[in-house]
Amino acid sequence: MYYIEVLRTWRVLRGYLIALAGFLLLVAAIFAIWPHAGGIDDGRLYSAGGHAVLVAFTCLLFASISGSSLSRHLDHLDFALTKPRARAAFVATVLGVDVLGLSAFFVTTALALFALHIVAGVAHPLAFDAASWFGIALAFGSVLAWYALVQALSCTRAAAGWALAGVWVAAIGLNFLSAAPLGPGLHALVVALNFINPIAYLSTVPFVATTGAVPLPLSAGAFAIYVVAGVAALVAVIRWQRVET
Amino acid sequence: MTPTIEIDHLTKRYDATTAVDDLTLQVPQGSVCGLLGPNGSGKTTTFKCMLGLAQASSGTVRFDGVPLAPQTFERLAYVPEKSMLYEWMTCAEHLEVVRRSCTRYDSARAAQLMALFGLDQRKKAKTLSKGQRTALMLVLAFCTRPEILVLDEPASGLDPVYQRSVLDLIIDAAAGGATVIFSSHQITQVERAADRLAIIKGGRLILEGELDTLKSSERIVEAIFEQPPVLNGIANDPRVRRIEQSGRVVRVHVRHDGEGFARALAALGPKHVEILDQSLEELFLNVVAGSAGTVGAPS
Repeated sequence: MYYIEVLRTWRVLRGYLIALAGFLLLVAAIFAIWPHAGGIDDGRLYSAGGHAVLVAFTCLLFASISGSSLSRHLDHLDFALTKPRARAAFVATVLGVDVLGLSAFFVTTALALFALHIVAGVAHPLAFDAASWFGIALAFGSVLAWYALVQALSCTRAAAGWALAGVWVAAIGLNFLSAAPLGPGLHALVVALNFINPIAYLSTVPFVATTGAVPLPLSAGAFAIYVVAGVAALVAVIRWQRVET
Repeated sequence: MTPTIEIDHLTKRYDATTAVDDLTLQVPQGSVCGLLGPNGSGKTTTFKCMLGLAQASSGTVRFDGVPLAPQTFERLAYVPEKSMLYEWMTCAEHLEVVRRSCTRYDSARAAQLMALFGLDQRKKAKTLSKGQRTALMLVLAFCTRPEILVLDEPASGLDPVYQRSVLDLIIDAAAGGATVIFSSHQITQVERAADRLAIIKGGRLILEGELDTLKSSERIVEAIFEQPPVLNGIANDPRVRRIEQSGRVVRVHVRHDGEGFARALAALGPKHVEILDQSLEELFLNVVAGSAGTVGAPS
């Protein structure tokens, strides 16, 4: 069934590429008409990890769309599940294609961000030190974790909209609450919940305002977010085994 | 010989509701089994349990003696009652899914079936009419030349010409050795295509067997009298299943011995006595209305 997933992912990616190209052309046209005084190249090195976080926030939108891909099969199970392939293989195929698709979105968005800086004349050197690589890994991991969480929540329900909206509200809310003046018990609960909150991890990367939502060093955070993604994906696989028409 | 489809004490419960109740049914290889039953009788649920789309509460389903496995779908095709097509995909893309999934996919057969139903490969599923969607699902099922066909209302939404084409496909598949089980609300379709019949009501199998045997198990003796007759005693005859009287015309449904009963009825002096074959519709209505029949030919 990977063919259906590839078709679906390609259609979304194609639309995104067209929109990005249009946006870059628009920016280029604006700067051609109103030449600016120059970039903000102040000679400082900026963290590539920080840029990756900006990319990740954009990709969370696509992760929300891809994250309901199993849910979108629910109305077609009589067709999808009557082919010579086990359910586990079916889920693995869907998840695999979606992860490849998200990788493509991530890379495309990163390239588009660089292109935007060049077009706008604000390109500046990026540092690719150890912290930056952890930041990049964590940013991409957050996208995967977001995808897997939405998948785990929505995979048994045909109307997955509630899951998408709910995840966004809960994740942003939890992230803000981590900096709120709460009592020690409530604060501990918020911190604990933020361990499975991809947005909370993104806020720990340098170049982004740190809220301390996840009290982990960058390297440990980069590892933990993939654990979150893996566990959520496993939950989706298990829940999918029980789906009935 | 092991039956191709073997359903053994299948039960499916949804909370307090029992959708399929201890259903046992066998379909031999090369047979076409028509599954009849009123709305909500459990036909679709039976199919879904057979194919693993719903988990049976108890009981087993075997194909050629082996429980359902993913590889079973290499030689089994299913046409669901409702369209399960991906609205945003074209007919060609649906065929491509089947081509990539099933090694038995036959592109020439697919093209032939697309032409038979007048389908355009470039059209998206969302632009197809109800009948065209049914037709596409039939194409997707038959294009692999399956050995086992499970068809839930396969002619639903099709015009009479295409309905006949579907029945021809079923008969043709069975002639080629395929085993078919299909449900329909149109009794004439079952009468034309099936050689076996199963009737379920309330999730329970109430009648099952070879169609000809079931039909011949009951005859109708029709008698026309000069005056409305008095039928004292006839109702007590153990051969009599049901009596219909409309003025001077009496129709008596008799088990097995139609000739013997016709002679007994002739003693009442009717103008005319005739023994009629029972139609499948009458058999269905008798069984479903009465629901007193036991599994197997009515005794």
